[in-house]
Amino acid sequence: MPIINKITESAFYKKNIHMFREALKRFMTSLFIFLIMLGVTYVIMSPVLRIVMNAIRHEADLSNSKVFLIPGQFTFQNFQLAFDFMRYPEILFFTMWFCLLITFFQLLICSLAGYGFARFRFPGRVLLFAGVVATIIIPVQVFLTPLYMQLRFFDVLGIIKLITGDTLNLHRTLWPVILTSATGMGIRSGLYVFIFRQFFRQLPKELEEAALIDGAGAARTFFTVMLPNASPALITVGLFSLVWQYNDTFFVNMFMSGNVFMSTMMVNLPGVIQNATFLQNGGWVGSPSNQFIYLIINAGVIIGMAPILITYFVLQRYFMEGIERSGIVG
Amino acid sequence: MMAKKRFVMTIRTRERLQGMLFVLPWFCGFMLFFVRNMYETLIFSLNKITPHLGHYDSDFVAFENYIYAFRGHAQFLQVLYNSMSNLLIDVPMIIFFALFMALILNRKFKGRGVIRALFFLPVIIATDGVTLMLNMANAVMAGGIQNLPSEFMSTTEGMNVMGLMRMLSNYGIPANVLGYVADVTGRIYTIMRASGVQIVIFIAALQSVSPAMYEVAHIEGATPYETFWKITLPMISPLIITNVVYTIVDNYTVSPVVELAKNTGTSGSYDFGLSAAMSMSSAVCVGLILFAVVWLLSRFTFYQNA
Repeated sequence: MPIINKITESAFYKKNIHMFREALKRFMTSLFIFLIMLGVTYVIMSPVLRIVMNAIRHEADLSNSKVFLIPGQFTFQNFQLAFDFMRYPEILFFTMWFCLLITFFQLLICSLAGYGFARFRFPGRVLLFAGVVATIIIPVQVFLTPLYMQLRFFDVLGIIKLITGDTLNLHRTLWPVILTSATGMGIRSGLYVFIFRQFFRQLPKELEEAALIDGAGAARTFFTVMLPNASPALITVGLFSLVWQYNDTFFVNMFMSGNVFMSTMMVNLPGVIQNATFLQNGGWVGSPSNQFIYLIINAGVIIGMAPILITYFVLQRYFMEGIERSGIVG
Repeated sequence: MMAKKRFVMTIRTRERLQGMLFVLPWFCGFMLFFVRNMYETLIFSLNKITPHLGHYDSDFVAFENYIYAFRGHAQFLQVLYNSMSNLLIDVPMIIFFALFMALILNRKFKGRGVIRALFFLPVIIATDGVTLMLNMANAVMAGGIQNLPSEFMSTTEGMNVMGLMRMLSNYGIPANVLGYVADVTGRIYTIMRASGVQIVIFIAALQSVSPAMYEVAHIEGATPYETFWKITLPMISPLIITNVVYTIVDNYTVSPVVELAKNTGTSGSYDFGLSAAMSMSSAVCVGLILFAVVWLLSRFTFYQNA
């Protein structure tokens, strides 16, 4: 290697050997990071890309063995079909208003509780906060059976039975999730209380003192001074709550099985398509092949997740900031 | 009560009352749904519950449900053991992976924002429908869509690691180490999917370490290796505990033993008592693991304020 020898023996190289080494080190480090990122991105993105590719693939490609990964014929027919089979506008509207309602309750109740734990001293505070931690650590699955029974024979201290003569059956209605969220026991509410408490703790106390001197009561201070200042935490918790509620199939299947949400619709799509086409054609003849249904489900999953993905990518900058500032760190 | 006319609240009383009012809505739910149902689970597990239309009968049978779950039930013990051992395999991997990724993502490089957003994507799209699709997409990775089995609802997960395993075993690596490696490799996608929240928490922790410390270390001539062990790791160690607890709980809620307990209570024989006993015993197991792990870790944890 005459050229390399020439370089390494040159006076310039010997004089600046440190600089070269540093440059090489930096280059190797960034190459290493690049490779790791590439690998990880591949693992995360490759199934997603495959779903997209399948969604825009034409039915005819299924029997064409030359087609691999990249579709031979592009089409939006799958989206159109999925849109119709899923009753998309109706289901989306229903799911969205329900999830937004739940998110509102979660934000309100958990921020109230978080603020109470962060800034007030009252008897039993430590014990109750241990209760919050317990709700985080003990998943709802542990007491699922009593909860199931409780919602089947719903009653509060025997009051409902006293008035109507019988307990309420809340199964297959929307009340199970509304009730639990409105009392701070919804999906991962404990975590949200924790996040809010940590966030309010690190806000300066002068804010409230100023509000107090200006004559605001506790409620007014909270809603007009503290909440607007807690927007990073609000965005973080709001997004978490919206996403987890939207994605939830567990509670929906458990307690609200009569209602069709987007999450359950996506799971049941194969069955929905098979039933629909079976009825339409009056028999198995002419119903789409499993592979074709698979393409339609791919498209269905994309349009099903689209609202959440859009929300996430719009909010993600604030969301990351929110997590860094909201003091999950303490 | 107090004398009505002269009653004036002191600031302290007021503060107490206000605090309680803020916590009240949460407290109602806590008592109504959490405390009550934890208590009921305990009672259920000690009773034989026979559901009828509109009501249910219960007979006190003491520990019979527990004894049946552990000695008589066909699957419970095995499923419990598998769930717990999976937990112990996955949790360290998730924590190491999350820490490693957070360290890399915390560096300044181009496109960092995009990559960070991407890492959280699996958490955002973690719903049953998508999970099903992703698993199917992975299953058809090798052969394209033509090879999709006709009974496409059956899903397989992970990658083909047999070739790699054969190669490594030829090098004389012990079988149990290989087994662990195989397990982890096969689950790499699951691990990535399960570590989104942890990565974000670690990044937040790394951001909160004061840059002055790194400056001092640099001036004193510490190598990056030493800096990591002497500064980064101690400073974020409280968050390691948080992450471990989060991971264990997260892992437990989707474990097969929970599924088994759920199915026992809500389908087939509707054996609520047995289901509650299963829930209680698996929760106690996880509780013990949590306790042991947190105790172990807290001995190595460094608190700046303490």
